[in-house]
Amino acid sequence: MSAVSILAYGAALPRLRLPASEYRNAWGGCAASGLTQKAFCAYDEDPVTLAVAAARLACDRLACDRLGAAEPAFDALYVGATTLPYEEKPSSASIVTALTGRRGVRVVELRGSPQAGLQALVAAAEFCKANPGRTALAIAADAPSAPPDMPYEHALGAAAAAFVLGRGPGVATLGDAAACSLETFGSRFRRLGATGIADLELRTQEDADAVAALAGMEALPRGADVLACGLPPRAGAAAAKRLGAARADAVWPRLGDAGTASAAVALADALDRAAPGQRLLALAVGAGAIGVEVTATGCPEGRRAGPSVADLLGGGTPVDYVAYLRHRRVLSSRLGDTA
Amino acid sequence: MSAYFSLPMYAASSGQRLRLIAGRCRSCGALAYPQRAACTGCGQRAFDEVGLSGRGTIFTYTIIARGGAPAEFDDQQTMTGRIACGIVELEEGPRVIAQFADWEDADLAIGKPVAAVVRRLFDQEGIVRYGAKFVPLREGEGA
Repeated sequence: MSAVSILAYGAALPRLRLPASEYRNAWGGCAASGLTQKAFCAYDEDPVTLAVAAARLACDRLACDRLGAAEPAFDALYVGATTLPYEEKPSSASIVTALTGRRGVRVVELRGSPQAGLQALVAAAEFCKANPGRTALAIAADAPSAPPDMPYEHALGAAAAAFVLGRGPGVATLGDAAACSLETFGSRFRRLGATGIADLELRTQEDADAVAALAGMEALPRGADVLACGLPPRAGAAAAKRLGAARADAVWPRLGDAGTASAAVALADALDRAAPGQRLLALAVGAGAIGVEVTATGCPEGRRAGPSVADLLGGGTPVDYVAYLRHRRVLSSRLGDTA
Repeated sequence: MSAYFSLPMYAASSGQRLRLIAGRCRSCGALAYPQRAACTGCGQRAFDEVGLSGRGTIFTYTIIARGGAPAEFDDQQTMTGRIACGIVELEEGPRVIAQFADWEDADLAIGKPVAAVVRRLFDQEGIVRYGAKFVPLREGEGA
């Protein structure tokens, strides 16, 4: 049986950027060491709108007419996100309706940790393996938030990346995946009904522990050329070393922590740059870890049309800290809990 | 509990709001967006659904300054300042009333190219309304 391919992919970032210097001006320092800026949602953006933008780019690259006549023909949609606007009422129904008028699409939402983005990718690949000839769309989209006086808020950004999976010539093939789960509160958590994540601020090494646990798993592929994880540089380099990858991606300093989307955007960036045959290991960490091998193949005509991740990271409009708080509805008494 | 929100209207308009689905008159071929019960060209009432590209140009625009927005946009205006809206002439012909997003002053001029994106329109009664807004197509940028 042939491998499942990434037929096309696309990433989306909000246009607004908050330079790290704004935290230094406002708070006397930026707790996100190494961050130069982060992308964050404008007032009218959220993980749903970012997911639609990323998925439309991916579908356009497959030469689908995104708005009607010949609509994207995927049979299942897997969305990995921790910050969709509803606890109950599938936001993925809004996403799928923005992409196609077809009703017979299986829609699955995955949540719980920043792992959910790659979990969506792996689950979509398993759908394709179990249903030969069918295609699936996997989207990682997120905009994590936290109270503004918490140091870990400084890194929190927003982004999305989408991957169309199926059989046939694509940009990459998906290989083995491995995952581990840790019972912990060390990295972050959020209670039902709360909008911002909490952190016990214990300065633990939970993410390193998760990577170490993953490294001990036999199923994990070794020897990747690039580790696509979206982690801060020091954590990314340490994870690459531990997992036997030559180097880690470098999206975090200009993106920030985009929750479930971080690893997915890093994977999209690595695919933008990959030569045929290059081996990538996508890694997401959060109360455990998940890794999946991705091997770049040739790139059919048009599959990288439109903005690359580097283009997106290099663009945008910088704003000041007060504008950031206003766009994020932190200062809103009416809708302050709805960002 | 009473509500402004109408589930039947919401369901009937989701394709229009999220994918710009228009009605094409089976009699004269005219496009209707938003969709209507009767064709404004010939008065016939049978339509086929067709998706619009979302690409167009600014036909006209205006800036809504502080205090001028409808109630459902109060918070948006307080948090973001000026709201830009106008009429976009789509490349298929229909003219659409919509908000602009991600704009700067230099982007707003009659004839400038724009493209549709999905954004939050407003929150009311705990329900987020998503729909089309238009973003400027700047030199060297796709959409």
